[in-house]
Amino acid sequence: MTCRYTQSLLEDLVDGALPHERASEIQDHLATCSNCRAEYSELRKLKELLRTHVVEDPGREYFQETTELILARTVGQNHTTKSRQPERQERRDAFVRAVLSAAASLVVLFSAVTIGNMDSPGTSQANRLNSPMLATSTVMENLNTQIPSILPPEDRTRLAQGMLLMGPPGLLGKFGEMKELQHR
Amino acid sequence: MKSSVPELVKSFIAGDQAAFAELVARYRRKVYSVAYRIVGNHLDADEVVQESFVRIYNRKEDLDSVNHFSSFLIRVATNYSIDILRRRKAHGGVAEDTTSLPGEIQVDLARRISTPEDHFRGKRLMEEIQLALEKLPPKQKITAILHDVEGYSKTEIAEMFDCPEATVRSNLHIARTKLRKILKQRLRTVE
Repeated sequence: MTCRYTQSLLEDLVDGALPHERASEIQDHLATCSNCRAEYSELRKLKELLRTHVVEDPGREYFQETTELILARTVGQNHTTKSRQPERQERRDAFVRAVLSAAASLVVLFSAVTIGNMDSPGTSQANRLNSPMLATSTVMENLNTQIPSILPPEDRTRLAQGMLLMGPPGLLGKFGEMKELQHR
Repeated sequence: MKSSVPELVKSFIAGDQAAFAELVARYRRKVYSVAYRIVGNHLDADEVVQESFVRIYNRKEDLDSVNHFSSFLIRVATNYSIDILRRRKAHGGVAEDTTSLPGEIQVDLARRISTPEDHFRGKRLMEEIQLALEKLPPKQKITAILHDVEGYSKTEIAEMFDCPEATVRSNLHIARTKLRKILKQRLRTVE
């Protein structure tokens, strides 16, 4: 049996995939050939090393939580009070929320500054409501008076946090109602 | 009496949600383990675990023609893992920290290790092997992981990926040759 032929079968020998007779022949060759023996030894060690490669166990709690999340996304049962997407998606969403909040705060600040710089008190009220962004400050002035029907408590909180300015359901969507404020 | 996997799959296809939940419970660790070895970090492995089962749920009609649920599930997981690797490569990124788990999990693990020296040695070896695997192209990496780490046969792997067994043998041989070269020093220390 040649070394070349033996070495072509060493992986199968390591994998236990050779018929008994063939395996014996290879073993006989290995007993007399140090080169092939070294090759076989290294292959065996590699396989042993890989076999013992252990992934750090994230723990029973992680798997239970993940199962809950999978079921929430599939079966749709309310197995959990949290709704966590894959962690990477959660981080992305948190970043986007932070950026939007910061942008909304800047818009509110800009509105307040713009109103403060307006020249004529007579025109300021009319001008306020012509601009959706300026209307923000009008709404804020009237928050504690007559508008619970227009801005329910949760929206008022969101407005105070600068978050109501974004999107159709937010402040721009309520512009028509806010115009009425001026005429009450 | 505990239901067999084929029974659970049959029930799941018929609409039994509890059967699906049982399948998730039985295979979640396996999927995590395979995914982690391919993608190299906890965050991506977490994504693979969730997405794999969601995909299985949405494709339950395909399970009718599947011989082995486990192989099918692992195939879905490895394919999604490859997508993540491609996405990462396209963005020019590197794997996130290959061994770090969220803080609270690390603390829990630390409690379970006998001595700090054992923990350090074991962790270092794991990192070395993981880094060696990272250097392989996806197909060779996956073949080496599924065969030499997870213990699937060449026949099973060929069936999983619908390819000839000769292709699996070839990928495995190339993977082992490369790994032997990368881990040469380490192999000298193994008894």
